[in-house]
Amino acid sequence: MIEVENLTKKFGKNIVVDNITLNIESNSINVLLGPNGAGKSTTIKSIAGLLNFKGKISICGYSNKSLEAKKIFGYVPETPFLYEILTIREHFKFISKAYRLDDNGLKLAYKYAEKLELTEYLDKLGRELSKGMQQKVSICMALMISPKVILFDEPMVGLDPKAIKNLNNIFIDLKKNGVSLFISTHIIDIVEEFWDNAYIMNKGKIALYLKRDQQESTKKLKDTFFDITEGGN
Amino acid sequence: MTSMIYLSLCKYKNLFKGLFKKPLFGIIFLIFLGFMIFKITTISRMGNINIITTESDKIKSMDVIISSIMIFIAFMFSMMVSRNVGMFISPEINIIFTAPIKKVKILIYSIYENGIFSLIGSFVIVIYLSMIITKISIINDFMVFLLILSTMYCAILIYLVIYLLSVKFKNINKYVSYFIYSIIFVIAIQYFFIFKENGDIFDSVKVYFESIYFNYIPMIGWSKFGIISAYKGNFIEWSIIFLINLAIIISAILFLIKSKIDFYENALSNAGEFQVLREKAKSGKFDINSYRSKKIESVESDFDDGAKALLYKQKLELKKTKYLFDKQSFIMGVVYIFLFSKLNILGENYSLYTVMIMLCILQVSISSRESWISEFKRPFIYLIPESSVKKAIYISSSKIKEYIITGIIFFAIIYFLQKPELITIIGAFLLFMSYKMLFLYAIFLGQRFVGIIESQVLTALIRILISYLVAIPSALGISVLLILKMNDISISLVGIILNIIMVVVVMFLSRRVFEVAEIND
Repeated sequence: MIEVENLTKKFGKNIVVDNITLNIESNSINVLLGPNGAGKSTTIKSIAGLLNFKGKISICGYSNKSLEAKKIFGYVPETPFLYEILTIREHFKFISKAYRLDDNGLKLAYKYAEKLELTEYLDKLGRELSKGMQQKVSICMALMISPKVILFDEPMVGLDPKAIKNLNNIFIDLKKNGVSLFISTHIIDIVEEFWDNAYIMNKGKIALYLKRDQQESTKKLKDTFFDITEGGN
Repeated sequence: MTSMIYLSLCKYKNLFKGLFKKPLFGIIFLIFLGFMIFKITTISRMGNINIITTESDKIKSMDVIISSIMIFIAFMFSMMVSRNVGMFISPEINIIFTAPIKKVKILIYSIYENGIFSLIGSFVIVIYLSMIITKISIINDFMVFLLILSTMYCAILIYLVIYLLSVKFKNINKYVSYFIYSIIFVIAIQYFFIFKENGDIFDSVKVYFESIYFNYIPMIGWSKFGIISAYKGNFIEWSIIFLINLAIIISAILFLIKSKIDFYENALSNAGEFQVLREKAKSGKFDINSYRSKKIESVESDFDDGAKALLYKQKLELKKTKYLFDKQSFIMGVVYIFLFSKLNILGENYSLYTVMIMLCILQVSISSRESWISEFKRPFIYLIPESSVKKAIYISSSKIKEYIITGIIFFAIIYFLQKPELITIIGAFLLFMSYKMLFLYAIFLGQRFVGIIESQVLTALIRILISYLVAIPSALGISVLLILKMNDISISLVGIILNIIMVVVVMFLSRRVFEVAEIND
């Protein structure tokens, strides 16, 4: 689904992502973990086509910056900036037009809005929403295009516990429907139940790639994370 | 492209709807709009007292005014280049850049979005000009409008081209700045030679702006020449300049559309930096006017009790940031004094009032963006158990002190330049201070009845509109006395009395400003 080959990203002389290679399989939930400054967001933004980089990134065989790729991946950014003077409904309609979706696109958006308890706020302007609500809108906008791949950059930040629970259910449903998820997060406990593959980044490199079936059944992902990033301390 | 058109339509529809969400704002907006249309279409054709006519003996003043406006546009352009403010905001990056929309369509969207800003800017400038330059036809106004619009749009498009090129050529902004400095250098040299011949520092400014040398300065000079041609009714000269601007616009648009430069990363970085600065400005760590981080000194101070503590808090903040007064507005005020002292828009006898009126207009535009206004967003101010009026008075005290200091400096310069009688300058100073007070309390009135609108532009606009409205009684009174050719003392006295009455009315209407908060930030 997503193939990243030798991705390197520098800001000035600072190497933020250092020659990483990863392969996101279809029908799977993949988590990208790492301490602050490990290069997680830069990796996600590079895959989303927002940064220039060295290396090769393809999504379902298309270059990540091509229109074909953009039609099939969704992106939930770290900070959910919405248009201040557009309502939630207008955001959905805009996405529906930009992606040339049929009526099902909008129906899907409203379905996710209902799941995330946004229905009564559909006619509120972007600037009238709390950060958590903006995050929910951002998630609906990424999901309404029926993507094959979704990139989530810290999707749980700002969400209340119920919304996090609902989002987790959405993750599981998406996987059942054959969608690949690539989730960058700090909140390891929450993804513990449903991750399939984990990439632990440290200092710009992939320090560990782990499949769920390779993990000792008694060991938690969080413990593995600390083993890698803190050398077991 | 339909998605981008939909986006724009929704944005402007909601913006317009937002104007009328607060009925008072809607009413004020309609009154102001009606007044402007009336002003452009009727009064300017009738001729009144505050006139620069297009008669040949007065056209020299127009050169100075229009050159100043062109230099202001150039100044804004150079600020855009040096600050590298970017083309896109964060929502556009997160939503549009990741959507299957071609880069060229995103650029076209940016081109027409910027065009709308040029349109509004040009309209405001034409209104401003129509207030001081009269006895012209609506066709002249339209020609001037088109030329200013094309000049502003040229500036914005050139900025977009530079922005795009800066992705490939990192140092291009530096070279553009050098180019701008070299033009300033050329202007200084040309002025120096004229001054050497003329001998009079102020008269040389007039002579220079009227000279053919200035007309050759790229964009600034030739656009000024085109606008003057429009006012003179010289269609051929105007057409040549307009066509030059049009050619630049078409070339820039073609470059932007054909360019294959990937600007996403730069846009992301600019929008991110802008967002950080916005957050810093909100927390008082960054001065958006000077575009610099505030240096915070370590200073200690005691606080007085009750509402007075607010004044002490402000004093402490001013000490910590070593703030004396708003340097930008002070410098602009001094420039206005020198410029309008020599222009005599109201005629030789009323040169003092010309300067004062212009300073007041400047004050109205500046007061809407002063940093103390952020106090309205601080919840603790509403919670302090003191009367709202007391809090308003103490919050505004340090600003009034600043107004008095800068006012004394302004009027000392005017006294030095114009040598009026001492009693006249004192009267004018007091009149000016009464306007400053009125505009200051007009901000409280706006806050009381409209609250904080999220859009900073709208908030500034409403404050300006209310300031104009509350100044109407004294403006009318003074106009009548000017027509009757009454003496300076009477003019000042009537103006001061009317303004004091309005200050009391405004304070009464906004007496509950710090009782009811509506903070959504």
